[in-house]
Amino acid sequence: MLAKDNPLNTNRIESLSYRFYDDSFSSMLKRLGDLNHRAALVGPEGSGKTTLLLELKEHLEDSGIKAHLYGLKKDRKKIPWQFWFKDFEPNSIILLDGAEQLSLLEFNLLKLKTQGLKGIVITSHRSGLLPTLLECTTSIELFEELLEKLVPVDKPSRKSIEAAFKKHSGNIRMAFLELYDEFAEIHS
Amino acid sequence: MIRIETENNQLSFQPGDVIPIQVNWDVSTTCDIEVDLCWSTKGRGTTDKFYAENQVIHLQGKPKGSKDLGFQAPIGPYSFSGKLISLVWSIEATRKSDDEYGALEIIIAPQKKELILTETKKLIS
Repeated sequence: MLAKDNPLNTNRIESLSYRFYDDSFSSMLKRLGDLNHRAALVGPEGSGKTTLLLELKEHLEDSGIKAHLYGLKKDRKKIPWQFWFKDFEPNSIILLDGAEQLSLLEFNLLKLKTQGLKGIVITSHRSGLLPTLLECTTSIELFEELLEKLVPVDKPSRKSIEAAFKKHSGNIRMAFLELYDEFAEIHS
Repeated sequence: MIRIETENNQLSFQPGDVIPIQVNWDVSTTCDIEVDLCWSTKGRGTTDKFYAENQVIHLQGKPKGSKDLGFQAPIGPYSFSGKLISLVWSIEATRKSDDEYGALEIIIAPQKKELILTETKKLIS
């Protein structure tokens, strides 16, 4: 199967919105306000933290708040130096994806830098950096539900779904890519 | 609603060809429509997108109407597809004021045929 026709290509995966369980976007926003807009989305890799952070960015911008997004990864552990010299408007919220990459010292500097701003929301694999706003988790049921949206017909077998989910320890993004490869091979 | 159509529903073009399109709209406000000729990648990895040409339609107080436009198919990159990545050309119509959106995927390649990437087999000496 060609990449553009693969139902699990990145464009389609990224079109999925975050799926809440026993919670909602509006109640999350209320909690964020209660936490003075300083909070963390916590969860393992591939559990939807970045997806939710992007949705939050869009919502904040639609509400007239300046949202500045920064992303850190294993191979990019530093916030760009320009950040430290930038004069953010007081009505700004800093969104930092992958805060666990920062050292404790860097994180404390970040907290200082954002003190006068409207807020800071981070994603992190571990709790404790900021009050937890939401704990993102995954399950095989969630994986199946999302898969159903992307591949309504001709779904992979239950065995393949379970194997992909298990192989990547619940990392839904990676499990999708595992099944992407299966689609690419089987349907070629 | 924004809809893009090509003349005679032609969807494949050679580099350098003129791509004649008609944009039809039926929208709630008379904000401009931006029409872009662009390519993007689709596949297993992250997505890249490049805007090659942009034209603007001023609705001039008409929330419903149509306009003929023409783009010139760039000399590259060609449309191609493999198992891991596809490069897809498209014409997209958007408005800054709302979510109205129309798009049409096209092929730009020699002989008007998308290049299909095939696996190369390892030569064992």
